[in-house]
Amino acid sequence: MRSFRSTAGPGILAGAGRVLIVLPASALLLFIGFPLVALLLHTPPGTLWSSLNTQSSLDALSLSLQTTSLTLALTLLLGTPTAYLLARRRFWGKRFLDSIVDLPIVVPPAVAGVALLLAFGREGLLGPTLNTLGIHLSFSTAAVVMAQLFVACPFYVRSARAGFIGVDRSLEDASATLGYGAWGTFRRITVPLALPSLISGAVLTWARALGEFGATIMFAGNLMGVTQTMPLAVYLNLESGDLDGAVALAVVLVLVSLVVSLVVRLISE
Amino acid sequence: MLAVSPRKQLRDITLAVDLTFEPGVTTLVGPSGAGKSTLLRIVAGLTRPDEGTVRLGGVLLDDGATGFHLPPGRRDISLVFQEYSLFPHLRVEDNVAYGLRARRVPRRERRRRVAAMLERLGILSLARERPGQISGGQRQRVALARALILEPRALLLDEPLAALDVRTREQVRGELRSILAETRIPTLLVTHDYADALVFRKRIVMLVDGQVAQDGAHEDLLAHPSSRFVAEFTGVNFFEGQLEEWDSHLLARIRLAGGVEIFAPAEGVEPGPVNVALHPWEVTLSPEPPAGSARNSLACRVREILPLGGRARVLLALDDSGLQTLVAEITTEAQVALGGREGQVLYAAFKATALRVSAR
Repeated sequence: MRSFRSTAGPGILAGAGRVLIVLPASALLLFIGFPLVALLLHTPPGTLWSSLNTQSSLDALSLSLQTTSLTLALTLLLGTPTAYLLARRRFWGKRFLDSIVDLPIVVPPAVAGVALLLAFGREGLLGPTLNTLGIHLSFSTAAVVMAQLFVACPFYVRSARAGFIGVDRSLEDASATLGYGAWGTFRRITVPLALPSLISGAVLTWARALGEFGATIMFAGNLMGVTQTMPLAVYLNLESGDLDGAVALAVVLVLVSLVVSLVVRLISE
Repeated sequence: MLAVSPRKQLRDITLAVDLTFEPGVTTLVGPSGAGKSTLLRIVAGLTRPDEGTVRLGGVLLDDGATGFHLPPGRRDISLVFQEYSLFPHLRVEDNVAYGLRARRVPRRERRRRVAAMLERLGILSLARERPGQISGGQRQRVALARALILEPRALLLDEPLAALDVRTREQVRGELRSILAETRIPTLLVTHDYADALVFRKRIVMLVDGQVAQDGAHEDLLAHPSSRFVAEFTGVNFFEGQLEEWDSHLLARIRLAGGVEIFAPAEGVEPGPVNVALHPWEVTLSPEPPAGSARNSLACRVREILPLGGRARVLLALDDSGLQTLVAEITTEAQVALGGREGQVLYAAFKATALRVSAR
């Protein structure tokens, strides 16, 4: 409400102008909020708990936690140097690289899944090579992580890149003149100062990985205990008529999303 | 001794100098874009020269010919950055301890040395503050503490006063002078404001377009400017005096060495020794005592007239001993109208508000 007032000013909120602003805004907020309320109200908490406490739900929960943790770890490990490179170095083709990194955000997840299949699947470009090495990626837990990494890592890289750009270079220079090398300076100056961006990027990436559906079902399939993460279990439960099971997992996902968006908001403020 | 002879191609200019610096403060002055900061960065090891060498006490730090380059942290040279570049997430004491930590100085000794350094610069009470919570002048002292605690063999200061507002600036300039007066190492202070250079006037190196335009004491630059540019840049009158008392009009009465009295607004300056700066174009000259609004009017004797293309720089003696001189810059027409021959008595007038007073 605070920012609403400051951007709109008092004048436009008077008289007929008020209707033109408040009405559409309320409609949109209701449209977003109402389905979430419907979801939360559908099943009484007791049923919710027993539906969650089934083998398939627990498997999905545990698989989601494992794969998203791995995805997050890989994102931090590979994404941090990438973001630093994009933030600090000027080199030929950097703009192209910038847009490559952003691409998975705009590409539909199902398309990403097909692309992954055509690259790493049994019939894919690397398929024969991987086959001779005895590695079968598609329809495995590894494929779930790959699908999540593909669609989710850009959120971290983008945020970290912005964070690194925001660190005054003269602070890094100061650290160098005072005796620290590149790694010491990165660890003691750059990372602590970019930390809010790194954390909010990591949280967003994790949340995106947790909700990942399209690329996963295309590339990894829907095998219980192997590739069936929570969103896939929601889908399967709904298809097989177990509405309570679907809702139980959905409620968990909604609550997690709520916490995530609050955390990101807190950090960025 | 610090010997630098680097050559570096910059966007618009080529920096090419050959300078040696003895212990003591040398002021590196010049307009922005002259290559001053780049020269400091080269000496500090943050920028590599295309050609030439940097040596400190006979030790080679950079050699463009062989590509030899000692990294910044291993040169025993400290750099005080423009805007100070204090680490905002660290407390004052951790900022100051940063270099010692990099050198793996044990914790106890680190604490002892940090406390001693903060004490020496009068900022011990700020130890647990963060840089964002302290004033500009205090930040500068923290930056100095962080640089000096490493006992460097050369000290570099990049525009140490530019980040301050005009009022604190005068005060901090005086503090900086007393702190740097104690150091016994080659010290390079970069500034684009000649008034800063006047605090350390023994050796001033004027850099223009990457070249040394002039190198000498303030008096040399003032009396014998090598170019019109140097003349314009250096033309600041600088007096030492004693702030004696405040009169009712918010003006302070200042007695200059030699006995002449002037009046100036000196907000925040206590009675005691002061420096007074005055631009020569603020001075008007007339053959009779002026009746106008200028608060200060001094009888003086013409010593020398230096033509400066369209304008004339008139050197005046404020007293019979000739120790205190005043430079006025007037148009050639005005100078011709005055007659202006050597030995003539003229009245120099300038507004009180044209004077810049700082504690010495």
